[in-house]
Amino acid sequence: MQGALTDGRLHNTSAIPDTLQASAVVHRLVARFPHVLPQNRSLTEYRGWIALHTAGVTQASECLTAEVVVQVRCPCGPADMQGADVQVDAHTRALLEQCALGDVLPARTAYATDLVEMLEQVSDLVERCRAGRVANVAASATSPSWTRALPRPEYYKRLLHDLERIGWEHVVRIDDAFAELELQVPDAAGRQHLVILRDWHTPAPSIHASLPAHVPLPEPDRSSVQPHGISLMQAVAQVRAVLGAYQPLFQVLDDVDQHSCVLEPERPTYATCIRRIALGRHCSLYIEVDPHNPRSVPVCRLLGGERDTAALQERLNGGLHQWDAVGRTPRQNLEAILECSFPPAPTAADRLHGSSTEGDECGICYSYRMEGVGVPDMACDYAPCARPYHRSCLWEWLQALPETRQSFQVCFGVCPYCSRPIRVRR
Amino acid sequence: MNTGSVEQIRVKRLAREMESLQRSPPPYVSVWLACSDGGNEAEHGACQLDRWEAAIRGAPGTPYEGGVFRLEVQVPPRYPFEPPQVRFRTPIYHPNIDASGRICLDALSMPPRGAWRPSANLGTVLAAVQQLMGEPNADDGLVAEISEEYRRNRVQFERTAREWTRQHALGA
Repeated sequence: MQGALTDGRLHNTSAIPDTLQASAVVHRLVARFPHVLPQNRSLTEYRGWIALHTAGVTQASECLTAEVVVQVRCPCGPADMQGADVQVDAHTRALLEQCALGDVLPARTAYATDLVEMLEQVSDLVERCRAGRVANVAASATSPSWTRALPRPEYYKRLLHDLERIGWEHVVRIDDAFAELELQVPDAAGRQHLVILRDWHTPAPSIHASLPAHVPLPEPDRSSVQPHGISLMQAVAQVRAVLGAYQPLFQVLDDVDQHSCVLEPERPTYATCIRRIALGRHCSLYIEVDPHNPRSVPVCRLLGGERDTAALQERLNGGLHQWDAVGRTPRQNLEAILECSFPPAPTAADRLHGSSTEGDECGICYSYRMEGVGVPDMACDYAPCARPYHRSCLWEWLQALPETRQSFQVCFGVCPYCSRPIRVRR
Repeated sequence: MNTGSVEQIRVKRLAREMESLQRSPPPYVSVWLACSDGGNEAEHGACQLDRWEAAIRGAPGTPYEGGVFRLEVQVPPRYPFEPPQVRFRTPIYHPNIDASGRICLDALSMPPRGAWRPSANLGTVLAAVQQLMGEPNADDGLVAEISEEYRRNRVQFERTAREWTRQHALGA
């Protein structure tokens, strides 16, 4: 069975009356796996061995030979792997089982479209085991076996075709396995939404977008050749439909975010309908917009000192009947009822101004120039920290600690920010 | 350093903290100066710098979700060389917070037992309290029975904590 193939036998196999497809597969077989030979004239049984590239890898185990002996039965011929079965030699089987991959072989080969591809899968799996990449594969051994099987080539063809129709300019990121995609999907008003498609190659994919609810998955496309049903085009259409339904919510949230100073969340997104709006004087208004009825009265809560919030609370309680869900946005309604205008969001220049002096201030008193003391006159010696201090402030702090060591006029302790040793002379 | 300059440091620092708390408060946390009633509405001079109030919104996914918890913050005369005293005024069912609202948190006491440092401030301390609400530390429990329950019967603990939230923290 392990004899070399001669031109004569190659000629013979191709002369066997069978479909054109089958003979094409056998030609590829001869080129790729010359040591695997057909065993009958109907081309349904094969035996031989696969030579491995990683034969030189040395491991303590004596079962590492350079080949895998294989035996394949494919009742429907080499171009159709339905009902096909592949057996490997005992050493290889033991190796696979050692790596907890015994059950992966049938799962992987089930995806093969023809004999050559099936043998490629066998060869790839065994090489992975031997090259020490086992840990990687075995780590996912607890998840269902389809996560370890590569999708059919049609998956990639279909995906690329879909991506071309959607337009590559909308693609933000695709992972190495082509299983997770991030797309930029515009809605009717031109807002860009980031949509993440996860586990796209599996039977259980998911669609994530920054929305208050989950995006439902579209119905699988039964007519498609794709093994797992849902086309990218369908998914994007579905996302657009959901985005369309939320337009009123986006308008309401945009209005709040653009015309007030939102304290929370730090980076407002459409995923949450909660906003905490600054009212000034340490008061804030917490609102929760109903995503399905965004122009109606939101859940409102005033936060702040009673002295300041009491009057506002009274106006809120007394004024809610004036709510105009049609003519005014919720933000305009709230401003009218509370008889105030919300302070605007700080501009980039404000932020810059606010933080420009921050780096130079004393890490303890938070000020730069102090009467009778001057400006910070020392800094932490550790370069990445380099926190400036007034000598007197640091002295005061280290004096307050029982673990501080003092020798004459020098205190030894640790920097309050980076915890590295610091010393200060009085 | 004499007491006069410690007072100067304290005032300067609290003014800066007030500014930054107004601009960017920690998530779920609001803080404001507690003012004695009867003071003139317009002037903040009636407010003492040493008494603050805070509210922490219960984070989603915790048994405190939906509640607003009131706290009082007392700033000692030697602040920031000593930690602020923070106490819950709203009753809360939590392994590290007792019936009088005292909180067992190392950032709230002086070294060597605690971990207060002048690098912390009112905002970071309240953020730590907010975090503690979601992640109790049952190994260092203040209330033994609640710690025990938290460790052995999480379902029962969460049910009680949610019930307390409903009873005490919803009508803020």
